[in-house]
Amino acid sequence: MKDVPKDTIIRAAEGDMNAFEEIYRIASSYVYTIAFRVTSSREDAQEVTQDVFLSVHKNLKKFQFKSSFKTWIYRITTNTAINAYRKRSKERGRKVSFDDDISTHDPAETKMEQTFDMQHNEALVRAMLAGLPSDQRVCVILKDIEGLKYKEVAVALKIKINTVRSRLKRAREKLMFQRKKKR
Amino acid sequence: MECRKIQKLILSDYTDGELNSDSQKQVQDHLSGCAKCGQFQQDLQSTIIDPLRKAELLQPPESVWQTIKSTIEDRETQTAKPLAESIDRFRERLRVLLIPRKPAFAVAVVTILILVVGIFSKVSINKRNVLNIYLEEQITFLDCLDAKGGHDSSYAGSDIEVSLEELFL
Repeated sequence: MKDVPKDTIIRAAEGDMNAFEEIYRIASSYVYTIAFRVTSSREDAQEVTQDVFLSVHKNLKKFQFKSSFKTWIYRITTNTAINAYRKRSKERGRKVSFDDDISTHDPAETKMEQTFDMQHNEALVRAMLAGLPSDQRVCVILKDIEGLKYKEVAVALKIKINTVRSRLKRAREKLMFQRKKKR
Repeated sequence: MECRKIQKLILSDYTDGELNSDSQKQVQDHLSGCAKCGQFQQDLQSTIIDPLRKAELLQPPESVWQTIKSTIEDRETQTAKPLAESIDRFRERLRVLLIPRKPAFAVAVVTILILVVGIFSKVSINKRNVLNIYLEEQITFLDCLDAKGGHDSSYAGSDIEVSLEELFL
């Protein structure tokens, strides 16, 4: 995510709706991507995205620039997405798996110009993430998909850097083992 | 460095570019000389890391923004409504108090003023009456004494009258 200009944040905090829309346009795809990758559901991802930006709007005045704005948004997003995922899991009485997403997939949203490789890659990514517990899944999403550094992941999730490192290591070991089994 | 440690680093810091330059070079030197670790690193990169890093950035539908925007606008309207109502009510009360709209109101105010003045006046008159009653009793008592002792009763009365005057000054 590119940085949001400080002036834009200040204007949005003062109630400037155009400034807030600028923030939305910069951050929404990153927020939505995390939400979708964590929940495996487009419907839930849309709801999470709405909740995240409503929370950002409500709390903008309290943001004091002591931490990175980008990291602050990532933190709100991961918390909201994980809560939504857990709530859905409880409602369904079992862990959400990749297969559950098939029913919520909206064919209208599939881009016609997507190549076979892209579609194949997307299916592979979804399958990999679905096989991970939520704490490892979020670390993989923030590191490998969003491109954050270890320190940024640690701040966003409020965990230690060593915890980020160990979760990534365990996630990758598990994924490699699963890939070997399928061969 | 032994293979187990190298593979641990491959699974984390080496792949993620978190090693310092010296440690990075140590791992690279090991990989160039160890086929097993080299294969391990290639498998991880091609089957896990590359697909994840090629994953698309997804765009939310425009309806998401529209919902957010209308929710914020509704929220702001709800906050403004009770405040506007309170301001209107306060303004109305102020108008009633400061601007006499009806003659009846003026008559009511004047009546209240008269009552207040009258009440205060009555309080003074009552106090006077109590004092007069007491003094009359004293005069009667002194008259009795005077009648027995031959004193000039007017003198006694004039002392009391002076006292009364002093009392009301």
